[in-house]
Amino acid sequence: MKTDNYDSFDEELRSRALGEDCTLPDGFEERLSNNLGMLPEKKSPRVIHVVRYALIAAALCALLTVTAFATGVMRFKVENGMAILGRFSSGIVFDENLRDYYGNNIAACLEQGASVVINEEGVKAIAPNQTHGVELSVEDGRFILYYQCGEVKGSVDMTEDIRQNGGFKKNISESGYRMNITVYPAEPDDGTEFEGNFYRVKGDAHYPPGYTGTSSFTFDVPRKAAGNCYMNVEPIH
Amino acid sequence: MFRAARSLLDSDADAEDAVSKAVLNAWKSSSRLRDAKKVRAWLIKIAVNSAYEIRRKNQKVVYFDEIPDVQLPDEHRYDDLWEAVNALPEDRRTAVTLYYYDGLSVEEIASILSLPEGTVKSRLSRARDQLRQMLKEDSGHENR
Repeated sequence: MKTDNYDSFDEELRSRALGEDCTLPDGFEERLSNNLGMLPEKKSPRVIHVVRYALIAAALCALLTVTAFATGVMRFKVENGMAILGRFSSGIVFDENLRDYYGNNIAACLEQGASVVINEEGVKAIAPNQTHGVELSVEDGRFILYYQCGEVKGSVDMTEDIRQNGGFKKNISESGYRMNITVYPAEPDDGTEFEGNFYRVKGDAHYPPGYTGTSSFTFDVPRKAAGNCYMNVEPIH
Repeated sequence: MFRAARSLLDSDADAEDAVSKAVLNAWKSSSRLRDAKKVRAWLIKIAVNSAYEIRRKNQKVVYFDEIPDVQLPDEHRYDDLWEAVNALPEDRRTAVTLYYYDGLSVEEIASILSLPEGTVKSRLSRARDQLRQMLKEDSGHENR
């Protein structure tokens, strides 16, 4: 009987709590909105696997789009207003920001044995197990790039969606654009579902003025990530 | 977030500061969130931590004339549950707020408050007993 009473009271409390409005201080919402409005803009949520992979695509597409600005040879397929960037192992990646994307041969492998290949097969970054690292930044923005090496997954921070940075187009034509990737060990964050070791990657890229078709990532996989690291995006047909 | 912060702080203004700070912190550390399903608990945890931080700062200076009068439960009529919850001791108040108002599980609350789950259950149980008494008295007032 006591349990029934408790259950009943528990339900009553729950019900009353849900039914009560949260009384906020006067002007609270407005002040909060103002504060939110002052935060630097972030275009891409980065929380779940699909979003995480979308960020891989976003980073890569930043590269592709930027390249497209320079060369005009790339385009993404657009369906229902959404650009399907590619298909990773865990699902389709969408990016509603892209509207025009072609996947022509834009590929290459430069330096340190690591490479990103972008062609009809999609986008693939390959990184042998190396100890060389490069740490650069992309203008005022940063990439976030998630990657996987077997069981090992990691990420790159990208606080700003460079594709959305109008100034970047200007930079490409005037001063070029460069990218390198560094992978380094990092502590798992709260709530992580990563398996294996956690690595973080920093990225920077370089496309010279008049760039027409070669891209490169340089990866550093310091330990326990034997074998190739790769990202792969299936082609858009 | 506001309620969670308010359950730990003495004023709406401080709770608002905690929420503002939490929003900023959440924004800065958004890349750390790996599971969207946990976003609610994650944000509340940030809010709670912000509230703790503000409380630590506030505790440096306490003016006697700012210490509120303590009202005993049996001398007060509670117009709503939130008011009754706010009359609970802090540890129970926070647990009740997170459990009933924010809809978090015992496990999530334990994680947020860095407590064993058994402690959270115990606090909730005691809070329920106390609330039952307080609200019963409230009801008694209404029936008079």
